[in-house]
Amino acid sequence: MSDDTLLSVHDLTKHYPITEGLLAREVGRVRAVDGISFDIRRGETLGLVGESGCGKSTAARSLLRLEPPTDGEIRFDGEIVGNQTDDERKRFRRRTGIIFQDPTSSFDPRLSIGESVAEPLALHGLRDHDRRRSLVETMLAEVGLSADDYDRYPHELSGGQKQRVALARALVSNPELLVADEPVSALDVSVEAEILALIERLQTTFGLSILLISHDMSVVRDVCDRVAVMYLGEIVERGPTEAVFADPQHPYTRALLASMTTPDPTRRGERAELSGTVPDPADPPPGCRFHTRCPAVIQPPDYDFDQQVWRGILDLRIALRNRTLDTERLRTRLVTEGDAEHADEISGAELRTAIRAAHDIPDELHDANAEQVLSAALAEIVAGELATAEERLNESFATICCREQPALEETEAGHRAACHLHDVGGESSTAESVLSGQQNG
Amino acid sequence: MNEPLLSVNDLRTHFETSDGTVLAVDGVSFAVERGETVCLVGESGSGKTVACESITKLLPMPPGKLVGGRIDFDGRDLTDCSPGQLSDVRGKRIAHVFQNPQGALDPVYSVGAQLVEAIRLHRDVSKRAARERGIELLDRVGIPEAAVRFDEYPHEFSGGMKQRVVIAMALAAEPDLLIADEPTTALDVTTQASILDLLNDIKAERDMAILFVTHDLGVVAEMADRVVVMYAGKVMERGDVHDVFETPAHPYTQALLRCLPGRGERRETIGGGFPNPTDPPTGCRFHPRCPHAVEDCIGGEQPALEPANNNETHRAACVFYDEDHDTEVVQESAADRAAQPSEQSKQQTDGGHATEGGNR
Repeated sequence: MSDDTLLSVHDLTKHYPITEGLLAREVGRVRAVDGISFDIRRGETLGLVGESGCGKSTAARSLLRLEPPTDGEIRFDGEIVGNQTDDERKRFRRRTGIIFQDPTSSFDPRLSIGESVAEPLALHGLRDHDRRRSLVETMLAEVGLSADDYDRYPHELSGGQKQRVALARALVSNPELLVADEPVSALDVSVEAEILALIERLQTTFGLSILLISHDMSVVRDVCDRVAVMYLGEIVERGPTEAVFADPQHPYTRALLASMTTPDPTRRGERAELSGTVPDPADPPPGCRFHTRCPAVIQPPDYDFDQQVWRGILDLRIALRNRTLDTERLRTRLVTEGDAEHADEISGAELRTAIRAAHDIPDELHDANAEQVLSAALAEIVAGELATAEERLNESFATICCREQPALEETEAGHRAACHLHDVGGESSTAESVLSGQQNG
Repeated sequence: MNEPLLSVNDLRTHFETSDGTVLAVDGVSFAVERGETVCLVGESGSGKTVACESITKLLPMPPGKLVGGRIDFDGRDLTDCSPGQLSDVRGKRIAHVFQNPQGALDPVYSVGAQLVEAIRLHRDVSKRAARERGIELLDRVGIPEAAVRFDEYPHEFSGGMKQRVVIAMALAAEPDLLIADEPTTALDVTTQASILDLLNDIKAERDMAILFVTHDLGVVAEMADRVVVMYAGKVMERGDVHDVFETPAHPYTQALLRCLPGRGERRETIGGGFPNPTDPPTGCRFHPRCPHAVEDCIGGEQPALEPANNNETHRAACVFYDEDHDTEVVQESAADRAAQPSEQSKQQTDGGHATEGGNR
């Protein structure tokens, strides 16, 4: 940790227990944030990106101790946050500020905006009313409003103006760290541009460090010095913004970038889709958490698949693991679609074809050895021996992606990513070819 | 030339409020051909949603009021239709999809029951047939295990899946026109991408026209055949999507494109405030914020839509495109835009004052 580090988060974890019954017995836990680490240097902006439900906001709230984290160490300006005395906690609060996505719901409609902005000052012990007022008026001018706006009420303001007031309130206690949780997502583009410009200007004026949370990759690219990409409670890639955007090392980052739309109709159709949905954070997949959707899962060494077919086989395997493959249901569907009258009339062969079709697996794999394993597994599925089939597929088509959790390690591109494609000893040429294949495909 | 499927002419929708009359849509004209996607783009308050909802009179009236204009849909003037005739058009010929799928679905009925209701409202079919058709539609919009999900409730679906269900309901009566009002704004980028693809596939498959309302220029570039840019109740520019993005003609469109983050070069702001909807500026509604404004922009009515770059289909409502002015002043290509660095940022769009500390 270097001297200019303002905030250092180590292994931050926030789990929410799922309880059941009268005694609130814990039956599981939602792993909203599951061991993330990052630093923010003084005057720096760090972006935290990811889809909704990946834990970005929970991470922000628990690092500010708006909710107590389950585990992990947070150091602010060298001092450990947590286990503090009340005074120390209050001091920490004064040195941090937060703004939220929806400026409307973050104000008390019965307080004038001046009173709202003055509240933190009063809480932190500034009892002189006139001084408070003059400080707030200066602050309002600083965010592009005027001193006269002190006595206006939130409903009189537009969304952009309210976000300015939110910034004034967050910054009035002169904090060193600002957490901005989707600050421009609810705003129009022209207003968004202004609020982003304002945040950048305030950063220089106040020497702020900023943690910017956003799902919008283009906002992050514009504003942030460094970026951390989150997926299902974990950071999967981290590095300087330009490096991550120019040469993303994790397939998830690539997919996020590929799904962005660009305001250029000549580049239409260059988007790539990401299949599947974010898994349940109460039951995250084993191994790499992204393997259930990843287009670049590492293939088992002894077989030869097209990457797309391999993805289909994995999907079949995941369906077996999650018990979502229901042969009875499939039979019923075949009855409604086809000529057969009863579910019993559907032959095993028909069912096998249907399962292959449902997972985009061709009727015969070109690798004969692989085909042998797959047909045997399909026969077991049709016979109702799902567990045996699952085991067979797992054993024969073993891949490190489903088995081991990758660590966030330095890649050849110079920044960190948590992906087995970059494992030491693995052929880095494979990583390159697989990743570029994803980009072209 | 064939008649367009939908043609909106000089539409005026106003709202009576205690603060005066809000001129939400004030003389808007555009057309949608069969099987094409037209994007209505603008910021909040531009009147794009009100324009769309005026077409089938989904707006609460009062306070809303159709003050003038014609809306011709497939040879019939919708402004003349009785409520009964209109409700026949609604859903059956013109379907709507909104931003928030949560609000469009009833939480106490299963998704299937709601789909069956939509199907049987427009077609005289048995419940059993409607169920089969419903499952087929869910399958078409990409809901896995459609037959099973049919009997589940809205809360069991994710946001993207709910929007798929809403699209399935909109497709129930095989409409000729789908009006999609910010259908992906509430969704994640990854989900947005797949919903956009779905809409494009369905459009091609059924030769259905789409009127797509959005504020997101990235989505416009992805979806539109033609673009209509609105500002403060008026159409500022319209044309083929490639023309509008490559050579944006109206200063407002140019300014809007310069606001976008993530283009590599510096973002700019438009400056000035959004006009008061009860008392909009005379002349061109954009003139108080326009960097090129001259004397002629200030008085009278919004300039007529004149062809830009000698292109009949690409028109801008700006005085610089009439015969008396030098078009060069406002013309700018995508390449120029990239080359020009920012130098302005006077006042703020959302009404912030110019008292801010040092501008960059």
